[in-house]
Amino acid sequence: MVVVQRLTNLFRPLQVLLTTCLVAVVACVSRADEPPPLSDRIDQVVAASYHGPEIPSAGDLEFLRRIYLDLIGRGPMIEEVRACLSKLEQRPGESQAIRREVIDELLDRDEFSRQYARVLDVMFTERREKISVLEFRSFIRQWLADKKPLNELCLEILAADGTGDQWRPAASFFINRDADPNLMTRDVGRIFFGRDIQCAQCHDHPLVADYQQSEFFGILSFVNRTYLFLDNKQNNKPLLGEKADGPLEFASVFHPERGKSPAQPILPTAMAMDAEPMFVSEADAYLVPPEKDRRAVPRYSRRQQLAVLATHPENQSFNRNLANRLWANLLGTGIVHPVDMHHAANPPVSAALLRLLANELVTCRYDLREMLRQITRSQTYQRSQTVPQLESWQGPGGGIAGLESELVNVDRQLRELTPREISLNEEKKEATTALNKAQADVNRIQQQVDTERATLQKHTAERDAQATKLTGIQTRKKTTQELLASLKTAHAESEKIVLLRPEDKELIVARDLLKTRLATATAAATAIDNEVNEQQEESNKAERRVEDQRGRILALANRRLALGEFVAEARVVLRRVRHREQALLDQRSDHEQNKTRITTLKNWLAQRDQVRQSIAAGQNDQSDVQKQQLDSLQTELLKTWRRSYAIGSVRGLSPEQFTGATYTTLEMYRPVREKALAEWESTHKANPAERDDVHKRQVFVSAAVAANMWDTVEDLIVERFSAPAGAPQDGFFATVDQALAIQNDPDYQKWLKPASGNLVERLIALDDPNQFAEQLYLSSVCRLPDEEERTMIRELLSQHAGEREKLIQELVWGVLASAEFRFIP
Amino acid sequence: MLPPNMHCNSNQHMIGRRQFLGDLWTGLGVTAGAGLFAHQLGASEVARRGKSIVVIFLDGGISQFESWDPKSDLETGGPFKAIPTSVPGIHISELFPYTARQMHRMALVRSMSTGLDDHGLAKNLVRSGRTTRTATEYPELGAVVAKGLERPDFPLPGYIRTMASGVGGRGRDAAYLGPAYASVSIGAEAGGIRNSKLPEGVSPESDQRRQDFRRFLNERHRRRVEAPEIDAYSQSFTQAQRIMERSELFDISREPETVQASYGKSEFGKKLLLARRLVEQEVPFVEVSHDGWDFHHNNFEFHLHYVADIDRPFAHFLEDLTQRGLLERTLVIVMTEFGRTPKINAGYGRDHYPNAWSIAMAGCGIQHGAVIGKTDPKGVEVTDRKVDHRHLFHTYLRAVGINSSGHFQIAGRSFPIADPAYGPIKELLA
Repeated sequence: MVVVQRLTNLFRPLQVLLTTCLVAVVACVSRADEPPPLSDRIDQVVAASYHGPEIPSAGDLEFLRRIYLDLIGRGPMIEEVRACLSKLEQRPGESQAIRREVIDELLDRDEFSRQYARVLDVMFTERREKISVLEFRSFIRQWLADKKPLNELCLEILAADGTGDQWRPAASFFINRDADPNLMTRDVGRIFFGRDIQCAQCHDHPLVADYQQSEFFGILSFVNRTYLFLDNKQNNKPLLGEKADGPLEFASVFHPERGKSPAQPILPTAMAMDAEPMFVSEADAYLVPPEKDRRAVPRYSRRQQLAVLATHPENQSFNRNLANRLWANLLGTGIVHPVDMHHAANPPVSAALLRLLANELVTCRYDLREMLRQITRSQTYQRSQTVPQLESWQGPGGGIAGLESELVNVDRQLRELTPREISLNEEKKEATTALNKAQADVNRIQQQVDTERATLQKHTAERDAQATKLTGIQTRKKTTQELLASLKTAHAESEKIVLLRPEDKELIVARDLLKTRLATATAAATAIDNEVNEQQEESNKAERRVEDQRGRILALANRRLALGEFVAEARVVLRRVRHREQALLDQRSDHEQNKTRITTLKNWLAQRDQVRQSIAAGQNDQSDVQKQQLDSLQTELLKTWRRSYAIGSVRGLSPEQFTGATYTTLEMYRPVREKALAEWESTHKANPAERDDVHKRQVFVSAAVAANMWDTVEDLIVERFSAPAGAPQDGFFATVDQALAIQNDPDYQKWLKPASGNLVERLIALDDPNQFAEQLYLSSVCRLPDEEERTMIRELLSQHAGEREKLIQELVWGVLASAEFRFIP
Repeated sequence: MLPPNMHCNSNQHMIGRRQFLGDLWTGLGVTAGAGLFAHQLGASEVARRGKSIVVIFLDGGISQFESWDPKSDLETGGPFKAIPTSVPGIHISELFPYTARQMHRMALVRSMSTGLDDHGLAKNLVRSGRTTRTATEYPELGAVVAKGLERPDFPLPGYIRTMASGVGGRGRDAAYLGPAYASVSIGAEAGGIRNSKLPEGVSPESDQRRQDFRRFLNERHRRRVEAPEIDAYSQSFTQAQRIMERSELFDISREPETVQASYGKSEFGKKLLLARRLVEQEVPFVEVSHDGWDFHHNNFEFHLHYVADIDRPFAHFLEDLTQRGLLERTLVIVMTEFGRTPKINAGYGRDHYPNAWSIAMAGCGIQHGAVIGKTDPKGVEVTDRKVDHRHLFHTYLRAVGINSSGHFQIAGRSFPIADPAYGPIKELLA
């Protein structure tokens, strides 16, 4: 029996929040002074912490290759490049508008959903495969095609149990990790909250002060009841079962003397559910009780609570993590980096930027396309990677003195934070105390419940014993009454016989004997009747005691629930305090980072002045040493600027992007696309309306091309260029087996053979060396060759005219194997 | 707390350093390699070079009774007797007559006690030097050594698994150290590494032209954008070319007939000979495996044949390394995942036994003729100096000069190199 089931309560704050968002959105639309778009605000935040020379935007074609790779996972086809070039030519000065059009157009394509299904699949499963990754990808792809919110996708992933064909793929996250409790805990922490708390499994994290052991066990308490269930009725298909209990205690391996603490189901930043429902007995707690060959389903699922709480818009760690990961995908480095190390000692490079993105994620209701649109529209995303020439730069307007006064300013701001931090600390202490007190009340009731449950067990046993006793007496009563009935009959008969044979002494003796026995039996029957009545009374009493006890437990449970409300309220208070604490922490860390950046710049400027003075004074020995110091200061300065997104980041192509880029450059898609188009035409002959539906046709063709692409290129590239399953997938590495495969793999060589409309065949047909060079460069690295490169190509073509086909294959290989092709411009 | 300059130790900088030297190599061109790969170096010159580890992995679990810790007990000892070795007082199984004569170069640990008796888990244990809690994967010894002994200008992979023939790929055994330190399998013949021969239809001249064009593009690209990752990518092609140019390095048929004969015709012998060639080139870590040591039945007959297969080539390997002055800088470990039961079962087999077993090693910084630990006369319990895989892991690393109590800094994270709660077996280190 469910005491109270109020899942809906969980949604209460959600609704409030959504309403607020709605109001905000409406306000945006209606007010004239609406805030600038997110893309502009990103640029403002980034500019606020940068004092260097202006960094130009990437060139139009650089931008084109960048945005294609990022949004649809491949470089642009030559036709797409040419279309963009002619647009730029026709509309001079409208580069910005054209870039926006390209972004919007790409986000609208089916190819976008396909690419981001892969990006998100890699993010969630980190290339672990158990449930087919294809199923999971197509699940995500459909989700994205339907334009559903990202947090709800995460909710499905955390809540799914693998049943139901439609939702089965969502269970990949846990099933691919074998539902191992520690691994589930670690990866929920890493992937959904950006906190790698595995070292807090056995003790508080030795290096990271704010990863507490209680945090690890907080998440573990949500998932440790979940287990992998192999359904033997369906070929041992893996599913997720869940138990209704699983109390957890933990002790530090470093401090065993401190004893064990009970684990509370609570997420980082104090996200926790309202009071949990309670069941009078274990059997009441299940929809399907755990038995052999049956998947247990509890009435109240902790894992579903996790799904709701984890993806709740008020969950800051979820929002910050998701925003940071989306950003890192596009900019190469997370605002917090590594992306699963959000903690005080590894502060965001710009907390203001992280807050902005995290809040915006909520405001736009976790709309992936909107987030990507805004980020890619920003100047920050579109910045050139080329390092600025600092020789001719005069330094910031105010010079060194200006920087110094800014440092004074920052210090003042830092000082002003201190009293606020102190008072907030007090508040936090109070809130924690209140929470602990409320929790202690609940724990006390829980203890009582445990005692009462034991008593209930005793009473139940007692009642069963009394019932057994009663049954025993009733059996005896039945025998006695049968005897009595027989004796009555026999005695009556014997009276009749004695009347017929009054002289027979022996018969008289027999009759008297029967009479005596009858009297005894009658007395016994009366006695046993009394006994039955008495026992019935006892049994009733025992039954009443059981009922009373259940009632007592129910009452306690209700009381616990009521007290649980106080806990929930105390948690809300604490959570709000934590949010404000985070805000202060963010301010402090931004001031401090700003200080470091200003100091780095100031030191560099001062050193440069010294070098110049020494040179002017003709002190060559001195100036050499100073120059070296200047060089190292400059390296430091540029690193700082690159890290804070003032200069474009250098990123390698992901294995998926490398696959897409290779396939597209070689134009292997041509015959596939033509075949798909012809098929579309012929299958929709009868239905011209459908046939001319551009979107549907695009989906059909892009599905055919994608299938062919992965069939052809994936095997050679993806595994070689990706980190092992289960490891973070965002790092760059270059190994010799990759280079050997590109140089020598027979398959790779096969792709370079001229065939049905591919790049090599088309290049062979191009007689004009100038056009040849343009086609080669635009198809691969999406830029026009410069003069030197044109000359080089022209000379090679004329020198090796005799083996033209071979030369062209060499040139195409050279471009594909180049560093320029391997990295995002 | 993480060190505040967490990005300064990142491998980006390492790549940067490697790239700098790598470019030098590119500049030196094709002829530069000859010196590096030249044979016949004097013993003293070799001794100064970098250190290496060769692990001979007897997969399945060799019996300690039939190898390093023979017992005369009637009930558990089995039919083979113990023989004296080149070190007075040390006896090993009579199945190892050749190895017995090398004992003065070796050390034995007879007090291994590791607790896990499942093949997979136990292998993971001895290879990673950790007792894995779930949710964490640890890199194997090979990857740790490849990282710990990494040199910026080194042209070959740092962790090589030998194969008798065929071509292999990259393993997934480096965990958080990253794929650059994962094992590469190499066969003992020319082109014994996958994709190391030019594909059909590409002549050396053609390859030269396409590489020239690639370098031309890279050079121009580098003028616009510079980053250690970009250099690492270019460098991987240089490395690949160097491996191709030196494919004879993997080809043991280049060895004189007499040398090939001395290692024998067996697969194991071929792999050992390849290992020696690789150690000569200062490859930090080489693994030679010998499979099938899991004798739940007919333990004694099988050991008779299996040990015969490894005894002579192994003894010769130690002799050869010594002659060439390589043993001074090469740590050789005979590893297995666990021992076998003292109890002989009904099928004359021995089952898995992780409670008391042995490991042998030789060379580089290890005490000659040392015996660590003791088991009781029946071989049931360790009675002296009980150790496990974690102590051994520290010991191996210390022997080749890696500070095993240090940390690796990987992409902003700090990882202890070996289990920080343990340390090396000091009396084993020379």
